[in-house]
Amino acid sequence: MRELLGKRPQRDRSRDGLWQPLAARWRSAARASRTPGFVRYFASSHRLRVAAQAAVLAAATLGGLVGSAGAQLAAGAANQFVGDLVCRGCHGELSARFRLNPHFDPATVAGQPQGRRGCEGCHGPGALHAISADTAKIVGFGGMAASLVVDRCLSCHGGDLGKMHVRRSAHTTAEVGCASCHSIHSAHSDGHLLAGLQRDVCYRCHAHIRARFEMPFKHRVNEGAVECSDCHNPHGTPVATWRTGHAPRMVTQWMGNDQPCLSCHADLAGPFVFEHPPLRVEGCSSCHEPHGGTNPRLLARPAVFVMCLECHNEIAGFGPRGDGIVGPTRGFHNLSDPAFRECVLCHSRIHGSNADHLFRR
Amino acid sequence: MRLARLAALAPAVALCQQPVAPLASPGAHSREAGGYQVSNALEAGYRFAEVGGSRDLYRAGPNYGDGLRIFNARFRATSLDRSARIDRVSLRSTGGPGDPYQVHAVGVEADGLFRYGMQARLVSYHNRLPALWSGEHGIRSSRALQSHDLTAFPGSRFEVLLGWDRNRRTGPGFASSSAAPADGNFDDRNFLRYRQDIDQRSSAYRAGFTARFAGLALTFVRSVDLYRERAAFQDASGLPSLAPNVQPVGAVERSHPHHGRSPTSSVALRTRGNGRLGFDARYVYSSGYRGSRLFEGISAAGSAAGSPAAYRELFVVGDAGRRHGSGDFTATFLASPRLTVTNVTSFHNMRMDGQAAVVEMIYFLDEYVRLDRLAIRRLSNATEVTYRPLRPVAVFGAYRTSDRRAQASDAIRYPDFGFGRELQGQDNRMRSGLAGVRWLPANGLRASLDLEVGRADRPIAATSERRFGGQSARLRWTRGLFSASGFFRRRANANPADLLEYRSTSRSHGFQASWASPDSATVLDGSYTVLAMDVTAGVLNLFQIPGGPGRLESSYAANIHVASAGAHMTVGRRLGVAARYSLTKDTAGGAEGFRLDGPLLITGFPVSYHSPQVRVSARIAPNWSWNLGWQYYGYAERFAGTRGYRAHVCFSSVTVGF
Repeated sequence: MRELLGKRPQRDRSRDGLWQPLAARWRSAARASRTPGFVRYFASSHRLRVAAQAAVLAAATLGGLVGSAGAQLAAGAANQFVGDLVCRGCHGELSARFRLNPHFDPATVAGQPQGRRGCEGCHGPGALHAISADTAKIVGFGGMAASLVVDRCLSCHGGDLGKMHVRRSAHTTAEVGCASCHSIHSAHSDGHLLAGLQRDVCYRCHAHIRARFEMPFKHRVNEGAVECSDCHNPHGTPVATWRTGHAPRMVTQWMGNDQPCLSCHADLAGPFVFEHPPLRVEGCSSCHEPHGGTNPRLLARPAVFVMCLECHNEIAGFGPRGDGIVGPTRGFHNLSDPAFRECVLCHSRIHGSNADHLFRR
Repeated sequence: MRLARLAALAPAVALCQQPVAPLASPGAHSREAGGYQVSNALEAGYRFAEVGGSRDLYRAGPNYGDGLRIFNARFRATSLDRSARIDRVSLRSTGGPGDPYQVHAVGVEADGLFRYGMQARLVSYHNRLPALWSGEHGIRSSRALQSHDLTAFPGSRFEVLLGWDRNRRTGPGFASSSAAPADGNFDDRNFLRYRQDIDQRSSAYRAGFTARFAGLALTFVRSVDLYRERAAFQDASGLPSLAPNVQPVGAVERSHPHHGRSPTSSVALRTRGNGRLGFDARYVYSSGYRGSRLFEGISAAGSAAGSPAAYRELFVVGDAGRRHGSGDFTATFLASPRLTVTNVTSFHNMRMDGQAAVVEMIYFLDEYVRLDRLAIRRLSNATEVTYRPLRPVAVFGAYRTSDRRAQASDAIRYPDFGFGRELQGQDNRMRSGLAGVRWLPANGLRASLDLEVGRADRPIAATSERRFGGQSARLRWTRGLFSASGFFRRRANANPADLLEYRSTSRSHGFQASWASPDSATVLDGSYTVLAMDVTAGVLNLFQIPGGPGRLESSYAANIHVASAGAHMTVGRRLGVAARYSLTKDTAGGAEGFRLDGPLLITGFPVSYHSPQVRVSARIAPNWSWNLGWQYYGYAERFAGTRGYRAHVCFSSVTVGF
C-alpha cells in the first residue's frame, strides 16, 4: 500500500552519516546482551564524545566562514544548530533511547529545517551548550514557565484539533504546562509520553478527585475500565453547551456539542418527546456526582425523593417558563409510605420519554 | 531530571494503587528482534472470591468472581530505524476473559502514513435497582464499548480522519404501567412496576479531514450516530404494585422499540503557530431524531370480590427531533512574555420538538396527541488575563458573562378541541469574576490560590447558581523522590426564594505524600481527604401528617473522610511486596436515613467502606514471577436499615516476559 501511495518521505540520510556503521555495532551488541545494543554502545563509548566536540568546533568554524565573520564566531555560535550527532556525544544513552520515542520520526521531520527536528527541535540551538557544557546555554524545560513550555510545544502541535483550546485551558491559566504531565525522555509506556499512568498523573494535583474514586460507588478508573481522558481533555475544551457555559471547563463533548456522559450512556442522548429539562439546562451533574460518591447510582443525595423535591417545589419564578416547577400531586404521593420515596419506581424514564409526559413509560 | 525521577516512581506508586486486579506493568521484558525493540509481559492466573453479607450488593459493587484471568498483557514493538512498514505496534489487555471490567487496546502506526487505534471495553455489573423490587440484583447488565480511529497521513498537510464507535448495553430496565384497581377501572395512579429486558445499540461513524495551509489548520468532520433499542415484556405472573387495592394482573404484554439517528457536522479553524496573535473558531451543527412505538396490553381477571374483568390497550407513537447549533470564537493575544489575554465568545442554540400520538382503549377509545417543545439559547463571553510580574509569580483574572433563555411549551390536541400552554421563556443572566495567584518560590515548591464570585438572576431551578462563589488553595512540594501536597476547596451557592432559601456549601481539604528510595526498592504513599457538604432546601411536605406544615426545610449533610496508605518494597533480588489500605467513612453529621423533626427533614447516609490489600511477587526464574494477592472489601450502610457485604478476593498468578 505504501508503494502505491508513494507518499511517505524517505528518511533524511544526509544527517546520519555516522549512523549506518553504528547500527551494525548495536546489533552485535544486542546479540551479546538483552540490553538494547545501541543503548549499551553509547553508554560505554567515549570515542563519540571526542568526535562530537570536534564536530561542534567544525560546525562553528564553518558557520563563521560562511558568514564571512570569523570574529563573530562566538556570538554566532549561539544561533548555530549542531545536529543530533553532537548531542549524542554527551547524552549518549538519552539520545539512543530517543530513537524509540514518537518524537523521533524521520518521516514527518524529513522536510523540516534543522531547528525543527531532533534534539534541537525542542531545545533550540546547541552549539554554545556543546562547547561550554553549560546548561544555562540551552533551552531546558525544568525551570521554564508553563506558558513558555506551552509555546514551545505548540510550535509543532499548534495545529492539533485537540489542542486548539489549550491557551485558555484551566491548566494553562493555572501555570500547569505540558512538562507538568508529559515526560519526553522518561515517559511511561502507555503512550502520549505521560510521566506515569494517566490516572496517577492526574491524581498528583487532583487529590479530591482521587478520593472520589476510592469510594464505594464510582466510575471504574482505578480498575482500569475508564480513563480520565474519556471525559476530560486536559488541553482544554470548547465552551460547554450546558449550564452557563463556563463550567465545567475541561470536559469533552460527545458528538461535538453534547455532554460526555452520552458517549457511553447512549440511551439518554435523546431527543425525547418529553425531555426532563435539567438534563439539557443544567446537565447531568445537577443530579449526579460523576466521579464517585457514597450514594448509589452516583446520585447527589442519598434519598431520591429529597433530590427531586429540591427542584419540584412549586415556588414561583423557577422553571423554563418562570412559573414554578410543578410538585408531586398532594394526597396521592404519600411519603409516609416507603413506596413513594423512590420516585423512579414509577417515573422510570426520568431522563426522558417518548410516550409519557410524566416519564412513567 | 525531577520529572524523570517522578516518572520512574510512578509505576511503583501505581502498583500500590491497584485493586486486586493488578494493572501496572510488572516489568516488561525488552529485547531487539527483527529490527524492532520489543517489550512484552503477560500476567495470568486464577482468582477466587468469598462473599459474606449481601451478595447482591457486592455484585452491584466490586463484582469480582472466580475464574481464570488475564490480569495484564502488554506488547509493544517499535521500529528501530523506522524503515519497516509498521513503525509502532502496541497491544494491551486487562481482565479477560471473565472479569467484570475488561479493557483491550490495539495501536498500529506507520510514521507519516497512518495511525490506527482501537479500544474495546466490557463492563459487567448488577443493576442496583430500588430495594422495593426483590431479586433485581441477580440480573446481569453489561455494557460493551468499542472505538476505532484511523488517521491517514498524520502530521501531513492533509490528514484524513475516519472513526467508528459501537456501544451496546443489555440488561434489565424498569417499566411501569397502569393497573386495574379492585373496582375494575384502570387508574393512572395505580402503577405496576416490572422489569423488562433491554437491548440498546448505538453505532457512530465519522469521516473528515484536517488541512494545514498558510499557518492555519482546518478540520471538518461529518458523523452520524445510529441508535436502536429493543425492549419487550410478556408475563402473566403477579406483579408488585404501589397500591394495595390493585386486583391481580392476568397478563401483561409490552413492546417498546426505539430508533434514532443524530447526524452532526463540525468545522474548526485555528492558527497553527505560537505567534503573538492566535485565534480559533469552531461550529457544530447536529440534528437528531428519535422515534418509538409503544404497545402495552394488560388484562385483569375478575376477582372473587365481584370486580369485573378488565382489559386495557395502549398504543403510543412518539417522534422527537432536535436541532442543535453551537460555536465559539477565541482570540489569544500574547502581548509580551509576561502578559497573555484571551477572549472567548460562544453561542449555543438548541430546539427540541416532540409529538406523541396516543390511542388508548379501555371501555371506550381515547385518542389524542401531545406536543412538547423545549428551546435553549445562550450567548456567553469570557475575558481572561494572565500576568507574570516576576518569574515565580503569575496572576490570573477573568470576567465571565452568560445570557441564557430557556423556553417551553406543551399542548394536547383531541379530535374536537385542544389546550395547552404557549411558548414561554425564562431569561437567566450570569456574571462572575475570578482571580488567582500562582507562586513558585523555589524549585519544587508550588502554591496557588483562586477565588470566584458570581451572581445570576432568575435561575432555572432552586439548585441553580445564583449567589455563588468559591475559594481554593493548593500547595505542593517536591524534593527529589519525596512529594507532598495539600489543598483546600470551598464552594457555596445561595438561592433565596419567596418561601425557603436553597443553600449549599461544599468543602474539601486534604493532603497526600509519597516517597521512594533512590533505587525505587521502597515506595510509600498516603493521603487523607475530607469532603463535606451541607444543603438546605425548601421542599413540599408530602408526609400527610395531620396538622403538619405545608413546607419543610430539608437538610442534608455529608461528612466523608477518605484515607489511604500504600507501601511497595522489594526485598532482595527476588521478592516484592505491595500493601495498601483505603478507608471511606461518611459520618453524615450524625443523621441516619431520614427523619422528621418538626418542620425539618434531616437526611444523612452513613456509610463505611474499607479495603486492605496485599500482593507478593517472587521471581522464580529469569522473566518469570509468581504472584499472590488478597484484597478485602468491607461495605456497610445505614439507611432504612443496615446492609453491607464482606468479601475476600484472592488471586494467584504468573508473570512472564518473553
